[in-house]
Amino acid sequence: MTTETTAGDTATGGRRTGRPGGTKRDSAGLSLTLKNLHRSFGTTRALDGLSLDIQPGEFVALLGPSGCGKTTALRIVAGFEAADAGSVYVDGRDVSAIPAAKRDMGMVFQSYSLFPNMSALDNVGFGLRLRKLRGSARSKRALELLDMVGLTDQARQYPHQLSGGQQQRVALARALAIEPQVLLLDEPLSALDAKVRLQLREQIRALQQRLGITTLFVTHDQEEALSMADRVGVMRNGKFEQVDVPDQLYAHPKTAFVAEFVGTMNRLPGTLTEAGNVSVLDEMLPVREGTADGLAGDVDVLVRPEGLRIQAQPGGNGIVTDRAFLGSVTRIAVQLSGDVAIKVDHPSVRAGDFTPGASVHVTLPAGDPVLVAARL
Amino acid sequence: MAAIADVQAAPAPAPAIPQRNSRPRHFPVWRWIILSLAGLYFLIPLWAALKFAGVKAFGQVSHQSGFTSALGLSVRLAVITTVLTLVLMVPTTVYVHLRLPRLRRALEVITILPIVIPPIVLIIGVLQIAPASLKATSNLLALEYVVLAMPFAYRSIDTGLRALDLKTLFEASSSLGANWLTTLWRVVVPNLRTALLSAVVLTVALVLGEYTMASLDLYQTFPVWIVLFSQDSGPVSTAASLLSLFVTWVLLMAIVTIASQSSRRRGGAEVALFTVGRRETGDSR
Repeated sequence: MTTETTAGDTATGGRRTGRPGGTKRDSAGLSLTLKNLHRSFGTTRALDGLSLDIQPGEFVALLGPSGCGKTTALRIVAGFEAADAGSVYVDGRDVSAIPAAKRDMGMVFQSYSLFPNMSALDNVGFGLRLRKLRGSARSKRALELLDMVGLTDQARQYPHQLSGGQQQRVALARALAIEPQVLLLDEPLSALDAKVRLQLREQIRALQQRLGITTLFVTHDQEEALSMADRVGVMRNGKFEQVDVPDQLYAHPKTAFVAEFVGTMNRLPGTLTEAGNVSVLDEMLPVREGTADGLAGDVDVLVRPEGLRIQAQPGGNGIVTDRAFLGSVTRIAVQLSGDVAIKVDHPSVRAGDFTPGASVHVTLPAGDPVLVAARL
Repeated sequence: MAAIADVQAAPAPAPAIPQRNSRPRHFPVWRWIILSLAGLYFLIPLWAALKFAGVKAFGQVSHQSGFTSALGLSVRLAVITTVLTLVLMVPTTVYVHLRLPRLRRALEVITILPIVIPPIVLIIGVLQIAPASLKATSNLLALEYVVLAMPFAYRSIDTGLRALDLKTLFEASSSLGANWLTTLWRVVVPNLRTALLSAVVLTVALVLGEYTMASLDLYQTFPVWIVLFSQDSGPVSTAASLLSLFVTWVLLMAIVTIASQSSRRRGGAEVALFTVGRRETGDSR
């Protein structure tokens, strides 16, 4: 049933243009290509023919649940793991056989990875020292990088004297100091609290835009992926389910997995007709092409909370069970007849009637073709 | 302004100290009794030895025949043993931690063997198989001491490594362009400073105090000299033993003090000889 964007081919996608949050300067990045990567750990298949094309200066996020293979893919690109089969290309050059130390890839890790015996300045200067940059030139460059991440005042401090957010900013400066061909980010924000995560997310994105460095970012946090990346690759069982720009992933998921993994999704019971339509909530709606392949009869129709309409109506098809204020919209939990629990978003200014226990009528407006999946 | 300054300078009233905090810390009598008994157990022999030796004997120790050469040999053996032990144990332990973590238990068992097997058994085995060229030099003794020091050195280094996120440090260093040896030298060893210092002191203390192997190998190390010289002059020999003990104790205390200060400066915790703690670095701010 699932449609794989990349089965056998390299996933490419149009760059999102006019993205708010930063104007891209001259691109210093190189292209990065993952071609048909396979990797198994014992009987577990971590990567199953993963392919991806990243354009110079592009920011791509790998998103997926734990164990989907995203970190393995990143580690293969970094050179910390070897693929059982497949290759990694940087600027068209196969780097698969090059050891990690010679790949020129800057990496920021999930755990704090600063060298405890070195100050922030020395941490940033470490890669420069290995590149034979001497004394004052090294310090000058390291200070520039620390200034870029706003930590000039902390240059002489040791990692234990820095907060988690500051440590990750130093780690970012350290990775950027070597002017890497590709920047790899392995869930660098996951150990931070929400406020710092948000600040650092914006800072990383702005720096990436400013430097134009090709970036591969691994995360299990969809909000991070959707807000930071030019394109997001949603992974499952070592493969891409879909690689697309964030708004397309959200609005036009190609598989039920993507639809349910990205954002909130309702499952409404429906019935497929021979004409290729689906009957749901007393409506007959067209089915999105390709999603009903191999399905017949009873199916689930996947609809986002904002895709449903709700109105107060005695003797309607549902009862409000709960409500949550989300700002401009209120998310209303409704129990439909047939023991189906769904969520409906409604403008908060008009949501006063929908209190728990109220009888409501939920409808699905005719319009775009809907996504269907096998009945759970 | 003056008035404001005066007000600001006025001492704040002392906060009332809660009654509970002003009480002396409760320390049960039975603890004092156990501490005193343990202290007496260790101090009485020292006091007896000190009394037997007399103060004059301490001044005579360095003038006795054979003292300088015996001490020189022991120091030379201590240096060779320490260098060999560190060169062998640091890369091995790091490699096992990093690449073969499943072998850690096996390594622990192997490294404890020199403690389980009596030195006399080890030395007889070594003398049976060692080549004559090696038997002719005191270097054989150094090699034997490396085996003897292994349990202490391994445990010190192992404890130090457990306090580090070794895999991430190696990968971070590698991504910046460092090879294995560079990472070991520039990143791992500086962060193992306390553990290595601990291993060094324990190894030196062991070599300076080892008697059985040196005696059977027919080398007059410092401990062997002390035993032999006791037949000529008991008090001077006893004074030499006490000096040796004191120097070792001072070394151990020095390492704990220096290492703790160094550790605290870099975010670590108090250091004891077998425990090298490191605070979790950084919060989630």
